[in-house]
Amino acid sequence: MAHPARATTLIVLLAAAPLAAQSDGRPRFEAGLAYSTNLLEDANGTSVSYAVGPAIGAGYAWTLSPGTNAVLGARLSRSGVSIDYADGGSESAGSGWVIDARAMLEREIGPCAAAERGCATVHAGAGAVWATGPDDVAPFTVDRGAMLAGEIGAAVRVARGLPLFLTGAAQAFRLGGSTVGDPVRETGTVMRVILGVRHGR
Amino acid sequence: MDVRRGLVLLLLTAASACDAPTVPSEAPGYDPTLPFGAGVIYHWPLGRSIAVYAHTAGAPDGFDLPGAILRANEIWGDALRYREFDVHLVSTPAEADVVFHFDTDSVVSVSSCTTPATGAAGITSFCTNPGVTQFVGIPLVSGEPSNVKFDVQISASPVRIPNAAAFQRIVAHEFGHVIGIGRHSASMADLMFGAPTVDIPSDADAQTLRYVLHQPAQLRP
Repeated sequence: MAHPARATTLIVLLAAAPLAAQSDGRPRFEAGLAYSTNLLEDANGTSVSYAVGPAIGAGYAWTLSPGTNAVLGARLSRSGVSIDYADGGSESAGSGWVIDARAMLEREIGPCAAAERGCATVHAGAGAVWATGPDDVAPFTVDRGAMLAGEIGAAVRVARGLPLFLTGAAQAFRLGGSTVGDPVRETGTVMRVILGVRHGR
Repeated sequence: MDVRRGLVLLLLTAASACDAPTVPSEAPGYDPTLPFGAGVIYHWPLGRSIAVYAHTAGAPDGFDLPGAILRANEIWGDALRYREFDVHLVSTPAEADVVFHFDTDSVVSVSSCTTPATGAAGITSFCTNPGVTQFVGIPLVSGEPSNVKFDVQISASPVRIPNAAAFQRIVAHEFGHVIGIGRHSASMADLMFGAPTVDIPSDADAQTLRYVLHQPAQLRP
């Protein structure tokens, strides 16, 4: 489990790269849908998960070298929380927010300089995730603070001239074993997939 | 290309880390089964809101039965992790899954049901089919059938329940039977001890409840 201070330090360190880059910062905005794997699995057969929910995000990109960008971004998504019991029953338990902040390196792998369709990029980065939900349902019964996260993804430009991209990202963060009294005793990985569109190079 | 190789490596790393956060299994603090045969597990369908009717006739001064039921739901609910049950009060016994009342006045007739030995401060009764696989409705005192599966009788005797604190304790104890704990704990530290002396569920009570709620029920309301 990431300590909040550690996650903050990581973001600050990764943010140092773009500050040293050329001053050609470009804003970008994204919207899409987020899906995540189970937030926990109980040995008694119960699982808790976020449903698919809308996500929006914003970021800023700087050119580090031709074809390579540094990106800082943040994303916000809201999803229903569902409980699935071993006996086949399930319950909607309200909703929760997931906020992430991340620093990434992005590599262009297509005809991006000419602003053509087909320009593609891939990225990898790290940051922190904050996940919220009903506080009477595990894993939200304890305050987890920020959790370290990693992300990889890709984007493809779909319009000539207009900086519109289809994007996909896979994000993973570690959850569990954070505090005394945490029922999630065995730390595990939660995967998120975020698909959407982005405006901005 | 280096970037692609890096991405493949990251994907493989991510895939290998796909172990879900896990809550390990938990043993009960004590045996929660009904003492029939090898022991019978019962509980309400998970996620159910249980309809409770509080019949307040004959209540001694200062004994707030609806309040005590809601408080019992709250303190037992603190043991839960997945909202396995909740309680809502209803205004007539015809709407109820469970009836609480004082021994001086009842709204259901348990004469044909399994009733523990009398003499306790609280008594939880139920009716089952002959095979003990299903709870059956306890008829109303008027003779009409009902959906009431548990009848909880609380003593109005000041000898058995001398004050409001003891009253709350007894209601919470009987509530424990209603939600799935079929026996008494042998430890005085537990709310489900036969003559409870503590006001809230102990860790052993909480573990027992969490355990029993996720076992296959042989007997269902």
